[in-house]
Amino acid sequence: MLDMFLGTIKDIALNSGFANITGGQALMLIVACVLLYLAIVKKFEPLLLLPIAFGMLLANIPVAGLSAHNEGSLIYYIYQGVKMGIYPPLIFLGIGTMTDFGPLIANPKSFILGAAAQLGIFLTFFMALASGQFTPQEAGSIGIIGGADGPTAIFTTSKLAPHLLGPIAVAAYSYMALVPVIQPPIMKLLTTKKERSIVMEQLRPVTQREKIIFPILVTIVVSFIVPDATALVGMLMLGNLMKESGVVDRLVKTAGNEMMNIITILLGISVGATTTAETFLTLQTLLIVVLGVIAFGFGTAGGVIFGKIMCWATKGKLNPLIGSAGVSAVPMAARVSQKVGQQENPSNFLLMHAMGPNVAGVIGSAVAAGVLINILG
Amino acid sequence: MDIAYALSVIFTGISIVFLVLIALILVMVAMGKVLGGTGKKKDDAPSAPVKNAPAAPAPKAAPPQMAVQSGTPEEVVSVISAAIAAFTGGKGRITSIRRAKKEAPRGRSAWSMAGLRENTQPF
Repeated sequence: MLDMFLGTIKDIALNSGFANITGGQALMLIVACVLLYLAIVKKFEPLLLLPIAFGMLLANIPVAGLSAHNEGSLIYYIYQGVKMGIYPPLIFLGIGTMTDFGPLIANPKSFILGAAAQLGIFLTFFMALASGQFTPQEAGSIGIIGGADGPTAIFTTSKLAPHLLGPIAVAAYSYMALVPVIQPPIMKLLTTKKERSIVMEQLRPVTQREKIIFPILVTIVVSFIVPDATALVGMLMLGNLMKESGVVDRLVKTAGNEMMNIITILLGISVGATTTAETFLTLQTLLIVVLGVIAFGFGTAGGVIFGKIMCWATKGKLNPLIGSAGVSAVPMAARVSQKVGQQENPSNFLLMHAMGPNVAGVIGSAVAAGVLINILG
Repeated sequence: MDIAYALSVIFTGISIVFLVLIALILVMVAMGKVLGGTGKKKDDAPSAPVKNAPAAPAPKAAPPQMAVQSGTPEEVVSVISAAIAAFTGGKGRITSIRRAKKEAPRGRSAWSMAGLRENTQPF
């Protein structure tokens, strides 16, 4: 009986995580704990970084077999929603219910700044390709980090380079949290004190009818030109139409709260669980982290430079700082424009003006994603 | 790396993104014009100076003193007057201020009504 007891203990010990852990897994567990620290203590995009980090933790526990690549595991089935491109559009549906396109409708020229900020995507694509470490599909997925839009980055990567999903998602969400750190130096470098002090005139009021027609028109125009962007743009606009129509309040509440929270949890865990030691601890991951910062920098610079051009074209009526909000980290990028503007001129309120390019950037990054999927997919 | 391929992807991508968003600008401007959102309101037009404007009317006699129920503090009277003036654009006239009669207690308590609303609202 004692032999049987000792044998059982020995079997348990040999099958435990302690006996089977590899160096890579140990390192990944440390990375997961660092990300959990950043999410909980530093509040870096905690809504997504926390489940991603915990998914990473689960995927790297030895013997448990909870990786997203491990067929038959719980997370493998949750991951199918990412793989099939279901979760990101549903998140866009929720985002649509919380987005006010009023500032964009009031000043349609903001669309230009939303487009300009997507330059970061394509310049980073070029740099990733030039590094010689990535295929065009992988380079496209890395470039999309510059859109500063998590669901778009995940959607594009799941189509073009699913094996890079973990590093790209972690980079995208980490840098989105760092927008207030990354953007101001670039904004100040590219603008003069006089430009930063420009006070913009108040936006015109937007009618409810315009707000209702807007999502319908955007869906038609975008879908006809870039059909690959329809899943993202269509769901974003459906959410917005539900909100603005005012006739489906219960659906709006569900899409913006319960459903979005559930999808966020599932998306985070399953994306985190793709980051096994073999796929994450590579030179490619390091390059993705570096290129991610460059992507954000180029996106911000593109928006500000076009802001300067529009400032010149409007004879000084447009503050170039709102161009930086074209990267679609909503509403952080708009808040950064407001903050930098107020540092120069305390009576300057750029927030509503910056929200125009900010939401235009969401549409712009979805269009850019559709274009990349079409060309590279 | 095939530079020509990379540049063609970049050029195509940027062109399409700008094309789509410029198309949206045109659509939005057209929508604004159709719905009259961007056009200047008629009220905004500067009014032409009126010739031979009639002389200013003689000042009206002071309105009769309003009847205020005893026990109503002056501050309350001032606040009510200001609120009504704001609501009517200064055109209304208060004739009297008196305390409303207290409503007779209803059959259900506030808690009971809240519970009823909670359970019947979805239907």
